[in-house]
Amino acid sequence: MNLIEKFKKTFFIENPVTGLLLGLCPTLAVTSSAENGIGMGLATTFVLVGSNLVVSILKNVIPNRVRIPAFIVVIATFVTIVDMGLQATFFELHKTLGLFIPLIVVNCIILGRAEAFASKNGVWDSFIDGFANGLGFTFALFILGSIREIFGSGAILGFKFWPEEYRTILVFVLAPGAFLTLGFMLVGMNKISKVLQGDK
Amino acid sequence: MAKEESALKVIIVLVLIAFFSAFLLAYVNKVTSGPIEANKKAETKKAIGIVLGDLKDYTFPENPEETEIDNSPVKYFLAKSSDSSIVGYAIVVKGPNGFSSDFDMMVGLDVNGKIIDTYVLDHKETPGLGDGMKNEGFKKQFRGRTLDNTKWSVKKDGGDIDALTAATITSRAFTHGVYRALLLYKKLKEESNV
Amino acid sequence: MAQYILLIIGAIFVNNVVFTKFLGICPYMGVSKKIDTAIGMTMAVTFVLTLAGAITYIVQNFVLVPMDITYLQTIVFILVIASLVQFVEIVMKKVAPALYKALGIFLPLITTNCAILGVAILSVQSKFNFLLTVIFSFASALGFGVALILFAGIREALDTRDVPKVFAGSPIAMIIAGILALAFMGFSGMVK
Repeated sequence: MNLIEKFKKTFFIENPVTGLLLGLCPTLAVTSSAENGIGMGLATTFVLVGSNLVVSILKNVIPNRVRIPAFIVVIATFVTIVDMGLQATFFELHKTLGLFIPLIVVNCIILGRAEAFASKNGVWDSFIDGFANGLGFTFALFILGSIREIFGSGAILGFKFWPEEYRTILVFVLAPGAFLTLGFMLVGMNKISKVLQGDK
Repeated sequence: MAKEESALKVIIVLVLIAFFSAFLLAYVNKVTSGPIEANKKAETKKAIGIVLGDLKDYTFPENPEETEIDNSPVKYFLAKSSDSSIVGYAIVVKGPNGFSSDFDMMVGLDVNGKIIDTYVLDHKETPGLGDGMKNEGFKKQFRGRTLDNTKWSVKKDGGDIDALTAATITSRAFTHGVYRALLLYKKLKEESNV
Repeated sequence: MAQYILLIIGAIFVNNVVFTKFLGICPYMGVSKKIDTAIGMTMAVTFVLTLAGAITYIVQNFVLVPMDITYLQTIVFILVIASLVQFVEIVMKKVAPALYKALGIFLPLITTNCAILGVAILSVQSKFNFLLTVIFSFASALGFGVALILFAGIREALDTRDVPKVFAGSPIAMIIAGILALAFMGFSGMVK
C-alpha cells in the first residue's frame, strides 16, 4: 500500500469527518479549542489502531453472524483502556473531554473501518489504515478546533494573540458555531478533494 | 452437523473475547486506580490551597466530612492549625440550576465565616459567558463577605452581587452555592456552641 | 410534579440533545431528508432510548456498583443497547414491516447513535433515580425527534430550491443545523 496515497486519501479526499461525515458528535462537541480537538483525535486514533489490529488478527476466528457485537466488545475494551489511561495521566484533558471519551465506542468511524477494512485485510495494512484514518480524523478536528478557538477565544493552543479586552466572536465556541464552522469547512474540504482528485 | 458446530463456535468465541477483555480491563483498572486517586487528591489539594488563600500552617484531613445543607449534599474540610483549633473551612457545594446543570464549587472561609476565595471544580457552563465565574473580575466581589453583611442574590433579584454579563443564570447558581457554604458555616458554628 | 415537567421541558428545548449536547448527530444527518423517515426514526429512537435508560439504570445499580466493576460500564452499556436494537429490529419486522423497510440501514445504526449511550451515561452521572432516568430518557428522545423533524421539514423544502453548488448537500445541512442551534439557544433560561 502506497503510504503517501493512503494518507492523502484519509486526510483530504475521504476524510472520515469531512468526506464521509462520520464521527460527527465528538467532532462538534470537543472542538471548542484546538488542544481538545487534538486530544480527542489522538485518543480515538489509539482506539482505532487497537481495534483494527485485533479485528484483523481475529478476522478468521470471529464467526460472521456475531461479528458486529464482537467488534463492539473489542472497541469498547480499548475505549475503556483509554478512559482509565487518560484519567491517570492527563487528568485535566480527561475532565474536559468528559462524556465523549466513552462515546468513542459509538464513533461510527471505528466500527466502520473494522467492518469495511480490518475484517478483510492483513494485520499490517489494518494497522496503517487505523493510523491513517485516526490521523485524518485528528486533522479534521484540529482544523475545526483551531478555527473555533482563533475566532471564539482569540487564541490558538492556549496561546492568546490579542489582549483580553478585544472582543472575540463568541458564537464560534458555542454550539451553533460548531455547526456553522463545520458547514463552511465542508465547503472548503470538498473543493480541496475535487482538486486533488482532478490531479490523478 | 455444521449448524450445531457453528452455534457452539459462536458462543465459545464470544465468551472467550468477553473473558479476555474483562481480564485485560481488570488489570488496567488495577494499574491506573492508584494514579487516578492521586490525581483527584492533587486536584482537591490545589483547590483547597486556592480557596484558603493566604492562610498558612494548617492541615486538613484526607477525606471531607459529608452532610446536607439546603437540601443539597455538601462536603467540607476543616483546616486546623497545629494546636487543633479551626483556622478555616474549605466547603464543597453545588451551584444549583446552572445554565447547563449543577456544578461543584469550593468556598474557603476563615474562622470567622468570612469568604477568602472560591474555586469552581467542575462545570459545563458556557465558555466565554458562564465560565467567567472563574475570572478574577467576578470572584473579587465575594472576598470578605459573610452571611450577614451581604444580601445573597444577584442585583437583578435585589441582592448585592454583580452578575456576569449575559450569564445571569450561572451567576445566580454560583451565588447560591456561596450562600450554601455560608449557611453550612452557621450550622456548624451553632452545633459546636450547643 | 413540577420537577418532572421542568425536566421534560428542559430536556426537549433548553438542553436539546442535538443542539446543545451534540449527541445523535450521525443519524441526524443521515435520516433527516424526508419527514416520514424522520418521524419513523424518532419513534424507534424513543422506544430504544427509554428502554435503554431503564435497563442501564438497573444494570448500573444492581450489578456494576455492588460488584465494584463500574469501569466496565462502557462495555456493558453498549452491549445492552446493541441487544436492545436487535430486539427492536425483530419486533418491528413483524409488527411494522413497511417502517422497517423505510428505515433500512438506519435501524441497526441506532446502536451507534451516541444519543442513546450518551443519555444513559448522563442519567447515571446525574444520579437520577429510576423514574427520573426513564423520564429523562423519554424526554431526550422527544428532543431528538423535535430536532430531527424540524430539520427534515426544512430539508424537504430546500430540495425544491436552488442552493449554490458548493453548498449543496452536507455543507448547507450543517449550516441549517447551526441556525437551528442558534434558535434553540433562545430557550435557555426558560427553566430556572
